[in-house]
Amino acid sequence: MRIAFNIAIIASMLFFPWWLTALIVLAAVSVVGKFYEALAYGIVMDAVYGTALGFHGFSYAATLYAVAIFIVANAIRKRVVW
Amino acid sequence: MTYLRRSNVSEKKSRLATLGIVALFVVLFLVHYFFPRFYPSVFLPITSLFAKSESGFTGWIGNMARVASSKYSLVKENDGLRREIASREASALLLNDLRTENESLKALLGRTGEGHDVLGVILSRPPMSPYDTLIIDIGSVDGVEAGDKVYAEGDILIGDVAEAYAHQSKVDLFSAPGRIIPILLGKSGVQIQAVGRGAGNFSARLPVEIGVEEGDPIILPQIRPHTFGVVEKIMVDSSDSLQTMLFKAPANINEIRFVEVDIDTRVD
Repeated sequence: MRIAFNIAIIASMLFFPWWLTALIVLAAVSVVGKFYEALAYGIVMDAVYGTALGFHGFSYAATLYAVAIFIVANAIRKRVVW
Repeated sequence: MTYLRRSNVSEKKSRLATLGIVALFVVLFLVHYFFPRFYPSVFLPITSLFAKSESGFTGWIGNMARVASSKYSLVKENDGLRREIASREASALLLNDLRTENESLKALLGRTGEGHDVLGVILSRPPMSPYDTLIIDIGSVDGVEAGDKVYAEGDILIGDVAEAYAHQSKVDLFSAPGRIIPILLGKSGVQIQAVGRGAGNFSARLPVEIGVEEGDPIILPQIRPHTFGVVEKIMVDSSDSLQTMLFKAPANINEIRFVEVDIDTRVD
């Protein structure tokens, strides 16, 4: 499952809109425990597509999103019994 | 009673592993923060290889989607496009007159404002990029530098080069959310500030006393006249002394495939 999500995220980053990548990453951190790769993908998205101008002046939106959903998803997973 | 002590060795190992991975990502982020050109110089050549194949794949998907569109939606779109063309014909005539007058005045003063354009192919565009940026396939080896102006469809200024690498460059579109650009209203020549809203869309606030209509041209205050946009909508609130003007770039960012980079002039 982890490998499948990694392949899907890399393919989405290369060929599909950013919001699809964001959704797949969200699904990955929710389903797979401790999906650390999400943090790397956030950094890569900012490195490849970001500039100093960023989003309203903030250049690390993708990294922040990855960190936030990683923390929230893992916190929820600890408290939810599937 | 004999109780087995709960082993906390595995918990300690797990915690150490987690700390190690978090430390690794902090280091990766700090590398990107202090050396912002390192990762792009590694990843851009790789992504550009896939981007060249992307245009064929997503283009095929786009064509299939169009075939699946209903006849009714196509007729409706056709009617809308005809009306839009008709409304822009008058603005195009005015623009031509202004351009001719401008060129003759500049020639009298000894300035032509001509640049040297290099053609580039767009490898990546919104919405693939979460930011309003383009990645193009020309870079420093082609004479591109940060600050160079970028045009689409000949004379439509859409952005400037943010970062130039050896064979690729990143372009910041003027319509990036929050970006502020000085503009001139074509008819009145009034200078105001426009704010980017993403994907080629802009908004501007100006006093209600300034006459502006839908279809009016927007140009940039530069020595070389640039078509920057066409007014799409005016919103007036009777209780407000300002009106909101919405306009967009004439070039559809989602459809353009080539851009021209003027390597002789830089954006101030």
